Amino acid sequence: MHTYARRSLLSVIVTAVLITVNHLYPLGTRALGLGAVLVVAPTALLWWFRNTRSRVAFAGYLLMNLWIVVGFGLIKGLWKSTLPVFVGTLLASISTSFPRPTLGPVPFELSGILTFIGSLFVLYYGYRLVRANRDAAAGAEPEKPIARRPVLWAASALVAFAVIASAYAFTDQDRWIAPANGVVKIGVIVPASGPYAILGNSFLKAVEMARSDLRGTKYQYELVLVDIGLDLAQARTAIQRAITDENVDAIVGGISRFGQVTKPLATAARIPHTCVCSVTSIGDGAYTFTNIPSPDAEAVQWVQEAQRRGIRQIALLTQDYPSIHGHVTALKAELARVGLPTTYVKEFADSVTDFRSMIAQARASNPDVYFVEALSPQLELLGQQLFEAKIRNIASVVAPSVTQRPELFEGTWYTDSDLRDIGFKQRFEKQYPGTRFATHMMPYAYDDFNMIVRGENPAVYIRNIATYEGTAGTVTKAPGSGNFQSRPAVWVIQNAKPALLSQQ
Amino acid sequence: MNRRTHTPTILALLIAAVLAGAYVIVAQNNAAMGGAVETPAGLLH
Repeated sequence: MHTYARRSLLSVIVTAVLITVNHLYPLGTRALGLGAVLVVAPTALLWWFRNTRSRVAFAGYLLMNLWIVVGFGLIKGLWKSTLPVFVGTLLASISTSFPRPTLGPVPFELSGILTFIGSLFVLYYGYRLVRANRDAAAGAEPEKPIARRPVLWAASALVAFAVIASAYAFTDQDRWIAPANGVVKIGVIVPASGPYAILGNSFLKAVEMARSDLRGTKYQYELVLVDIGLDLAQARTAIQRAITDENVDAIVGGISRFGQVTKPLATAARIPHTCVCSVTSIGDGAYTFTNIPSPDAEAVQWVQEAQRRGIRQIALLTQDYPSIHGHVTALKAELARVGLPTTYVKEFADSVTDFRSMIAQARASNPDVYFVEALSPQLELLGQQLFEAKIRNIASVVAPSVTQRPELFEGTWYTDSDLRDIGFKQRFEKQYPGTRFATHMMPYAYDDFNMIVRGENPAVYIRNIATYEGTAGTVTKAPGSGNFQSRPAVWVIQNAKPALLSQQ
Repeated sequence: MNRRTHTPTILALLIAAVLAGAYVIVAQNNAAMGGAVETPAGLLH
């Protein structure tokens, strides 16, 4: 019996170590406490049993084994790691009705699988220990394990795995449950207050317009506005409440920092989530999909237009800000690829208000165009000082479309989202007078809503989309990808308003 | 040949194969789902 007691305890300790490693990811250092309990408690109970033959101690030890086998081995290790990694990935590659599993880092998933394997050893040696204890109590020699009917054992294991895998596949498949009252609720995740409020309000209006444009749909669609404010913790609570209390069936949202918060909540609820987000890692191809031109696409379009205009050298004056960083990095790479030099590169902090010296230095470098990108109020300050310096050859990405003073940028050309039908913008401005039409978000908000309502099962429908003709022109998506790719367009500020260059 | 003497070897090989397969699948999956998390783009989108 001593041999099986040692092996049983060894398998428990090794598995406890694997459980601890696995739980370091969700629990942090608190996982060490869990590991300590899983090592110390069984060791103490087995020591107590071997010294006193206490049935209580033996039962306690077996209960600890049961916890490790069922709680960690089967539920965590098998159901939440092993099956998603192998079966979930396989199913997602076969059919889009199965989501691509959301997997954690490699060490997390491998420790989960090893926890399952370790728990099988715990189960086996726990069983041998019980048998040996029973034989010892009866005064008999402990039975030595003999491999009887190995084919039968292997077949039984395969059948058991097939049954469990089938159960997993059944629960993994996305099924659309039609709402009893015929009303599908769609959460609109946008900030309705703070500095994002203008964008949030425009976004909501675009979604409302998309809903009012619907004709002859099977269901009615109710929009549930989720005001996420500015604080990410507050946003998480508001989104979770919309999912659990309001029972939203899908989510349309915008702005990457909130998309990152929404993504895991939508995945957990298994509802589709479209996001007008430039951070491509948010789109996972399972439940979350991003839809907006990438910085790379903006850069390619910008450089093509620069070449078309015969521009040979460029000065960059840009604000130190994450999204602007993304544009500038992509632009520099594309300029280097085609061999267009930059004569002056300056990144300024948001505390800068006097740009005169950097404008003078940029001018001295003799550029053909000044690439300018900043947020308000720096954008307007820089625009004013460029205007005073009589500099009119200005270009940008997106920024002029959101400036408070477009007259400062008269004649400026820039890349921004495409509009297949300029009538969409005119209709929007007529329907919602006074509401800003943010070109880089509104067409995508409109299209995202339509993507959700077109399919019987929205998540599966969006996964299946390869090409979509919407108000933002043609967007494409590679199989399995969570990012819709679209080609931006060139715009010009004309009469203090953005105008599509292609329609000049 | 004693079948039982090979059992640990077979088990070790099986576990190694499972882990190697899992490593490849998880790495590919995470790369396809966006890889490392980027900095949020913020105000613009």
